Amino acid sequence: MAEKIKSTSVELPIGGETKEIIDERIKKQAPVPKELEKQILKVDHLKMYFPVTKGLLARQVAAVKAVDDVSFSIKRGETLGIVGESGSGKSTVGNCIVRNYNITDGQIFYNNQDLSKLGKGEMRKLRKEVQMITQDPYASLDPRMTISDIILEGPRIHKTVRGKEERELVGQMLELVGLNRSFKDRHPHEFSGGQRQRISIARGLALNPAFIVCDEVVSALDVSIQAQIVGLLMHIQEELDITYIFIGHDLSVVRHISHNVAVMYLGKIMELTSSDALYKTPLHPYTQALISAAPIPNPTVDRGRERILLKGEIPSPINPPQGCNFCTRCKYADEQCMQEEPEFLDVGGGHFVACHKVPGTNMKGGH
Amino acid sequence: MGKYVTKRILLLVPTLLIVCIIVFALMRMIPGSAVDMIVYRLGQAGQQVSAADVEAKLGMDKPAIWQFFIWFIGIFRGDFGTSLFQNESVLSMIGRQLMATLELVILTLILTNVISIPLGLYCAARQDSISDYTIRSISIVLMALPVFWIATLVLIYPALWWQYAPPATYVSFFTDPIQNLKMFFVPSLLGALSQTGHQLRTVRTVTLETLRQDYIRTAWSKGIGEGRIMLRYAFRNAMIPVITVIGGSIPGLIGGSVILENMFNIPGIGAQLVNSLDNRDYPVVQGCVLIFAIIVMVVNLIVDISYKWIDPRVELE
Amino acid sequence: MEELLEVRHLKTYFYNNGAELRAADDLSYTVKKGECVAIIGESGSGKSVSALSILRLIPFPPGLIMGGEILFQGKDLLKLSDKEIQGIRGSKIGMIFQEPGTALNPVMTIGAQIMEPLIIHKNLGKKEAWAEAVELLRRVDIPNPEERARQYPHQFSGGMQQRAMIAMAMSCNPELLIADEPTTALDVTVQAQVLEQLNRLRAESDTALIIITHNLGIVARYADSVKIMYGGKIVESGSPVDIFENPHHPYTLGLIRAVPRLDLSKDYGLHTIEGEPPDMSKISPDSCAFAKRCTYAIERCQNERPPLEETRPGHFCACFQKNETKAEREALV
Repeated sequence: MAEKIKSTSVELPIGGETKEIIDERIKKQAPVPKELEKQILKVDHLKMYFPVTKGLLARQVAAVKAVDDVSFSIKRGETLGIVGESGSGKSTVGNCIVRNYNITDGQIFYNNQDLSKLGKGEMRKLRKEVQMITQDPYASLDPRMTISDIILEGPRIHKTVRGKEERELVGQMLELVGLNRSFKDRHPHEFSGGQRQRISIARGLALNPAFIVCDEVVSALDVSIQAQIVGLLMHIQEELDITYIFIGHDLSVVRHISHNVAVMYLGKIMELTSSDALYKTPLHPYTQALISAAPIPNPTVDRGRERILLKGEIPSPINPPQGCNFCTRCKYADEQCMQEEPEFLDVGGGHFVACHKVPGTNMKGGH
Repeated sequence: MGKYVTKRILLLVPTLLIVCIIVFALMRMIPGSAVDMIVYRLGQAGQQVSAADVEAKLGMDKPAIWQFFIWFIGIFRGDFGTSLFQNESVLSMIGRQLMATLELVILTLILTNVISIPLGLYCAARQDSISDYTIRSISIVLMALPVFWIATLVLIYPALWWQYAPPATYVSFFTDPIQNLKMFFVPSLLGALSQTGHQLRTVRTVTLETLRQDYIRTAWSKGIGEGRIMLRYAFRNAMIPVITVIGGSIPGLIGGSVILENMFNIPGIGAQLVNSLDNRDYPVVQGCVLIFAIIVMVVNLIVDISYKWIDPRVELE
Repeated sequence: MEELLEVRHLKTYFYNNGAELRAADDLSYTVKKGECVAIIGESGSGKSVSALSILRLIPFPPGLIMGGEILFQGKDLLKLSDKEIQGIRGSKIGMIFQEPGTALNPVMTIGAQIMEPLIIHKNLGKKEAWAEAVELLRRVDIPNPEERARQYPHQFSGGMQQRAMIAMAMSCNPELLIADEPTTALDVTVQAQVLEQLNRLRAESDTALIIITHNLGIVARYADSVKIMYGGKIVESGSPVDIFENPHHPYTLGLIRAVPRLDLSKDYGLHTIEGEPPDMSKISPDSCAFAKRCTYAIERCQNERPPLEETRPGHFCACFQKNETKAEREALV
């Protein structure tokens, strides 16, 4: 039974050009129990292990621990950024949330419904609400379909529009992403990377989702186009009150679009906090290294910064270190770090860290 | 590697079993029976026997499955049975003829690769040049012409014009290499020409693909010359798919040897096979087909192992 | 003292389906001894082509160096014979490429690949070359170099592959190293490692570096001199402080403001440049390539190509409107 939460209603930043259609869309999104209105997604101890098989009979000999005990929650209308390098598991988290995989363990609550307990019919309904946009604008659009067909694919399957409404929907979606309505009869190969990414976004929006997982959506784009797409996503979030998970490897970009940022390493979250606090007071050594590794486009500022260089390589997710995942490369690591896995704790003000060396996390006392 | 080879050899057994069953069954399904042939022949020679007698003598009155098992088990003891028409064990008959076929196949392989690989590499290096076009056109012609037709021409015209014919009696390579090669050169060359058409194009295509790779550009940037790039970079990488093609061509070569052996009077297994089929000499036919199957499987094994030798990325399981 | 490398009016064009793409359109720049020059551009800017042209690695077809001079230590590289340019590649000028995974020969050991330039250019025997190769791997911080030299590229991680490439390119102590997007395919922390190494190595041997990238941060951190390319031309050039804190060209300004800043609060909004990077085949030589996307564009920009002019000592800009960008420039943080 949920407790009654003090209602500090979230301010919906409505721009000066609110259209009736947009209002209607907000009304049409899934109704939310009043008490937990703010929290749209809660992930609890999510684990996703992929089996490694060998031999003719495909015996499982090991497991790739892609996501290893990840927990977080997101408020409606906000963006959670997930940043990490290869093997961090960030894309897998996104795929788990949209149910592309059968999760190994843990729970995912969407609008306070446990996703694993949903029947097929209910799950199907939910798929309209939770959409995913991915990285490669060249591979994710079927080259034989017209833009119109691509955008309408989802609505046709879920039967959300009929006949004449189809055309109108396509037009609205194209306008929303800043493309000309006349593009609807063209094919993907006629467009550039940035434009295709916009088409992917339009496709994602066609079902009027409340939640979108953006998986490395700007990584393959030029700098100036990245700025366009990020700006577009933020604008859409404002207008339509959509919640995002924004997955990426570029800390600067992720931080810019997100309200909160989770830093992942080898399947676990190392640090989770607001995007401002992340830069101002990064607590985890890995976060600090990531920040140092991200050069700032200003020579005077950048050349005055401290340089943190990590030694060694990222371990294999099949065989992560025994204690803290990061201990093999961390300059502060000691015996405890090698043996004991640190807990993921709130050290104050919603700032979560998993590190023995951060004051307030060491249960055995100070150091 | 040792484990892999052992595993593959063990896997030969079930495959062999299936091949044997198919061969056995097919032979029995062909119209016309060995027994009738024998009765007829013996009758011609003045001996009157009844079909039932013949059957009993040869053990062919027992149920088919029983016959099959006797034969199959016999294989592992080295006993492939005895010919129904010659008084010789199948194994020694095959052994005699196998040498000739193997020699033909090996010579053909050598000639094919000696011609197609350097030319294929050259065409790739000089893509779209006049020599490239010329060589490619010739290879298409070679692919289109049937080998037996060319063989016929090669036999007839030199005989007509210069009274020349390749030697018609077989001499083992170890006895008299020159004479032996005189006999085998023309048929091998013909076999090679028919394969070259296809293989040259494959080598060229694969090499072109390889030359487009990033590491070729890196090689140029290090100041390496074209010759070394073609050899150490392009050739070694292009060989991986080419070996597959070569391996795949071998069953065809063995089968195709039938025609060439026939035309050039080479006492090989191909010829053996044709004769025995006519006579419905079951054990011999079965033995020949079995040998073919074993050769093909061994060749495949060698090709697979060679992948590992050429491409260090390959993980043999 | 003369410059190490002087590129003068380089023209490298590509021909595709009858269209002419001017990937390098009358390009001129210089590199001093030991200097780190960064060439920034987005896709279609021609930045990679400008570097590949130096070593004459432009594939023909479809590309061709149509004109210009590339003076390296006084000699024009474009006029050298094939054999002579091979003598320069890998020995006096080295190059590293973007995707180390595909840029290394998968069927040769790392040691063998590093040995090659040593054998070809320095006439070392096999044993000496191998020892030298192992030593080079040690210099780029690859642990267990003796063992690693016997391994194949697929057994190395991305960062190690790139470091092996650096070892290979530096093996003959080149005067100039060209790096084409060396870290784009690598993880962020690995990128930092590799760049630090590269920087340290070249400082030790006083090797000049041309680094081609679209990552503004890397440029701010390591470059001595920056050139911004757009549509096959250099549109602005100067020191990092000139470019980042005092940019004159509207494109440079747009680019800098389009990059999110980790050190500033999020209210520093992302500025976008409207439109798309240009289609090379459709750029007219008689206009400014950026005019279609430029908020300052006037009629002159559509009809005349702006020349590269010096605005302040060492700071060049190719724009008719460069004085108009003052307000935006001063609003930069």
